[in-house]
Amino acid sequence: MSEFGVQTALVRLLTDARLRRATLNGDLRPLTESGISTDDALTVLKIDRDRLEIFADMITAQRIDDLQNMLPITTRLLGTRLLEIEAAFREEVVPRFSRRREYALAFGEYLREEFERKEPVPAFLMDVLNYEMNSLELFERRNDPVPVSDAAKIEKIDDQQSRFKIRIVRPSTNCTLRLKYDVLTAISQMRETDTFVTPEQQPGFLLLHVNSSGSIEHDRINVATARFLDLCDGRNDLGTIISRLAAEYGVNDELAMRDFEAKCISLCKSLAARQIVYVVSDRLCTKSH
Amino acid sequence: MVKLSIRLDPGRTGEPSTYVDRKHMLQGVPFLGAGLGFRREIGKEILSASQQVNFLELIADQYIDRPGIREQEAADLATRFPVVLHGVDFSVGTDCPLDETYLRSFCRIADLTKAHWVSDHLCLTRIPGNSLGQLTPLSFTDETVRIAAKHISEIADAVGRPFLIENISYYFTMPAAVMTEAEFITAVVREANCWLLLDLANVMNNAANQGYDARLFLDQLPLDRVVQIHLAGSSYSGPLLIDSHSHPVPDQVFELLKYVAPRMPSLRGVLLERDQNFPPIEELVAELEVTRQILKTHWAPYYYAGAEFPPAPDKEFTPRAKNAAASDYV
Repeated sequence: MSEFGVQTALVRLLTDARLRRATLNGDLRPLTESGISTDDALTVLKIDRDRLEIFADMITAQRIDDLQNMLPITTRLLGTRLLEIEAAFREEVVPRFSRRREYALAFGEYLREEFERKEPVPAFLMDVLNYEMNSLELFERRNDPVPVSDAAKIEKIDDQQSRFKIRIVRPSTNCTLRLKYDVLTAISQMRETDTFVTPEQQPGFLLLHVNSSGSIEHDRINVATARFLDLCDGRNDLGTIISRLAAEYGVNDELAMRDFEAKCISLCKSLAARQIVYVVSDRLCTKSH
Repeated sequence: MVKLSIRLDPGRTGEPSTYVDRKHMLQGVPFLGAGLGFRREIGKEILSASQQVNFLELIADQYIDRPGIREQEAADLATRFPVVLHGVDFSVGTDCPLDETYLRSFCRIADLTKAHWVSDHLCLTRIPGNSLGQLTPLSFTDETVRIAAKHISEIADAVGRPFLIENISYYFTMPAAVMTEAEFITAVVREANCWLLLDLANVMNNAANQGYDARLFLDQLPLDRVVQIHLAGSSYSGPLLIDSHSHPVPDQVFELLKYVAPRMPSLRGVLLERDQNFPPIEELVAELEVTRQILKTHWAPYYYAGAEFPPAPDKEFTPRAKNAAASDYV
């Protein structure tokens, strides 16, 4: 008997309902086929079954509590269906997670797939789920390295001639969300009044990004900014981005184009100042998002 | 890591401890009095009652792997109260190396808050790749004593502060035990040369759930190693008394405090834990006052020397502006 083997068997029994059912009914194969020795499997079988089940329920309750903390609005909108969906999730996905946030991320992913596969879901619920999942995913990436070296960053982007030698790189620590509803107002209303009313449709874009203290901040952005950020993929140079945007917005006369370019450059500078994008020399650009 | 084969207290087996003696680390650590576990849900109320709360226990995991703003909150609290740091996820009983990232983060928060001491539970909370999120009992075996003591010693060396190990509530027993729970705790404390955080609510819960006498159990513990005590109220879930921290401290737990208080020369603080079903702060303050009165009557250093409790901090606390975070969690 090895302590590690016994501990592994115990943890698997506590977190995998199907495995627990099979094992407690005398079928040791699922455990032994996963590398647990028969001795270790027989040892954990000596634990009081009723109490093992009670403790497994406590672990489930803790995980549901974690879901409610990490996906607070989504789980609230699911209401009583949360327990049913979470139970199905546990049956279909063997939940092994080294950190508690991973459970929420996996559950959110499962929800997305379920919503797309099985049922028509209110668009507002999808918006809220996307907002909360993107926030969690960004937080996971908060310590990702900056995708460009200091040496590659450049300040000067006004020179018309050099625009085609400048690339705009967007780090993995921000993302743009297209929403059908004003999720932010609805959430803040819920926090203040503890009541929840589905808001009127109000399509818009949100920029989520990790700030210097490691928190996720959000900004409402317009469609042009969202499109600009879409094009900042590390491959497009600034000149190309401006040209493509101008084409999309039907900017063709010279005067309008000059004004449009100035606005794009101003936007680029303000995004770079907040480290939402990095402006790098084409020659020195090594990595991209 | 420095290891000395010196042992002042013979353990269960009479073998000398493998690990360095750290008794000197408690020298200079003051008696803190009666404190509260800091919970954000009642953070403002706790700050408003700072005169009656002698110290705070911060849950390290509330600050680890969270935005920097949370760390700043911990640092701010440490300017207002003496602080001790409590972990829940070292999983000292897991038969695997410690999680180095967690250890580094824990040490950073301990330094940031200038924690007087740090603690975690004598249990299993995870194995590599699978986190349980619950304090899970260990096998009461010599091998587990060795595993836990090794990990505790590594943590104590890394954190450079007194390390306390806490007895847990457990709802099932692991098979193949070769010793009792009290013998197991004693063996770990002595082998690791660490201190004990004695949770009296857990003792009451285990006595009820496992069918033993709480006082006899306490008699078998190394009470001279107790540096901190936890008090809490439990609740029944089916047939089991659960460590829910959801109710006022029951008389039985205060009675246990009276029972052990005269025998704890190393005691530095008694802490009230409340995690849910929060009452008005006045009720928690009243429980702290009951605690202080028990210590004044039953705890030897007060009884004989008439020492005064340390004055509560009286500085104004200025909460930092809330960050416009996407959600409270992130």
